[in-house]
Amino acid sequence: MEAKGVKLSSVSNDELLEINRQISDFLKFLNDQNENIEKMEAERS
Amino acid sequence: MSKLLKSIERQIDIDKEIINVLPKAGIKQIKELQKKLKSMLEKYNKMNESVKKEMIRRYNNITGIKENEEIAKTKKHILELENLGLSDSGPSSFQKMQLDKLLYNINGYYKKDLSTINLEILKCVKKFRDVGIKITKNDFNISEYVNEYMSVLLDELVKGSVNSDRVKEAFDKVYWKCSDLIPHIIVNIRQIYNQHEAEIDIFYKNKNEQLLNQLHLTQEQVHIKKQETVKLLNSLESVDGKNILNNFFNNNYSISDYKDENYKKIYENLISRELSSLTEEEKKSMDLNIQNLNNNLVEYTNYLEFKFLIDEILKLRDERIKELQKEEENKKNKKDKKDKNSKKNKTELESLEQEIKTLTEDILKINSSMEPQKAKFSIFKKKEEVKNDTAKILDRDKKIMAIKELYVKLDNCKLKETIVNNIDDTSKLIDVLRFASYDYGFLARSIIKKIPDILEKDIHIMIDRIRRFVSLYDFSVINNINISEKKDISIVIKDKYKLFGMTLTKENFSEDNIEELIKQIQIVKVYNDIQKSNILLDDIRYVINAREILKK
Repeated sequence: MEAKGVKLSSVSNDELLEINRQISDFLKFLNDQNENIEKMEAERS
Repeated sequence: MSKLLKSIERQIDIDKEIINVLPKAGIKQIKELQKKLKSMLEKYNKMNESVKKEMIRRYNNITGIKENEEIAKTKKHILELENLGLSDSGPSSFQKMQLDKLLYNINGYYKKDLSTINLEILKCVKKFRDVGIKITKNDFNISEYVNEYMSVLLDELVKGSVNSDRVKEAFDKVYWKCSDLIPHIIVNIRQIYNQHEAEIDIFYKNKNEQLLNQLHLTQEQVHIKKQETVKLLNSLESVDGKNILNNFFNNNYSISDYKDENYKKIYENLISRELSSLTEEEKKSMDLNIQNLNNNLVEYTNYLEFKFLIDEILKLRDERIKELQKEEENKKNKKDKKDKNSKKNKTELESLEQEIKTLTEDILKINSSMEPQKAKFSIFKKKEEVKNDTAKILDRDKKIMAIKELYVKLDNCKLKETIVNNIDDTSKLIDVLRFASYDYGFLARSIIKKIPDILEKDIHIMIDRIRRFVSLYDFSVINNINISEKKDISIVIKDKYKLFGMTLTKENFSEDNIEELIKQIQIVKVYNDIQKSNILLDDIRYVINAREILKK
């Protein structure tokens, strides 16, 4: 994983933890959205 | 912020916006949204995997730090010095053999199970063998009960089955005949010790001389060598990355305390000036002062924790001094130095020893007056003989229990006598604490007096801690204060460091504040140690945080 030539291995410890936090939070958001839709679908059928 | 973090933040914002703006009204639109969510989940799970992989790589890299090889070597060296078998001249042979500890444990038999007691009894037998006294079942002759039980136990020891059914059966059989079997065994072990005391003293004296000759060292030199090695170990461990990290993992240190601004705040409070105003040399010198203050505070808190032992010893010393003064006055009043009664008072210890000796001789006489064959098979005896033997046994058993009580008195008396012979007004606080640490029974009784609800196992742990502290700590305070000085140690410490430019007050040392002071000094000391170590504070912070995340 890299952006504009910056590799994950070269970010600082704090930034690595922050990247992890941001991705984990967004994954949670995506999963919640997905679950909501599945619930809606289940209710509809 | 790195380009990578910025780019990820931006990407997430965009993707979040896409999800938010996508229409969600019809089935088709929902299906479209689901498709989008699925592809995003795939993308971010992949990213998450890469991040976790990098986190684990760094975690393993940092925690894989190796301990300085010198630490293991130094620990081994300390152990070798401890295991030399060189004994301090302070404790008696009884204490060196650890019979005080073993008999204390056996005496608490009603709180333990039979197998534990058997092991403790056999440890006593081994201790005698270690000093060259080969005791057999014939030495257990205080009563036929002890002889019967110990014969089986020693037999089974040879077979390697000390907790066999045969031992249990023998105990069961003897116990119902004499429920004081264990006290009888205790008295018998003490009798064996008394019988061989002179030989055992010589054994330790010769062993020490032999060892010191081999080492070409004096006892004092060995002691200094041990202390220097412990000092070296402490200095190696304090700047060792692995050791520092373990202290964080074991919650001895808390990462939230180790922030640069916290360090600066504590430091500036301590010196009442800006940290940046210190020259490099001044900072170095102050760091050393803080390190020394930390050592002094650790010593001081241990001293406070164990002070009750010093107080107890000094109380017994005062009591004995008063007794001696009284005896002296009595002697003067009678104006007859040859007065028999005054002589008797003067040698309370001797009269107790004599009383025990006489009672033991009586017991052995009674035992030999009962023919063993007849004693065992009373069926062959006349009714009158049986009655006579029973009376003798009852009398003998009373005498054994009386001896047991006399030993308690004798131990107290010996302790007081040894205190006045070893502690005087010029003795240092550490001398008193060291003296207290020799006597297991005294330590255990004093600890129970101080902490009545303490568990048995915690008494042993505390005694080990006291003994390790006394023999291994690098003292600089209580080894310099006389018992007669009645100084407030906290003020002595405070005044010293005030002279070196630290802002310390009496309040810092008050019961409510001392913990905070110790904590703050430790933070500065450990922070400095980390700077000198082979691990970065940033890496420590990372592994502590990452460990929590990776656990999930």
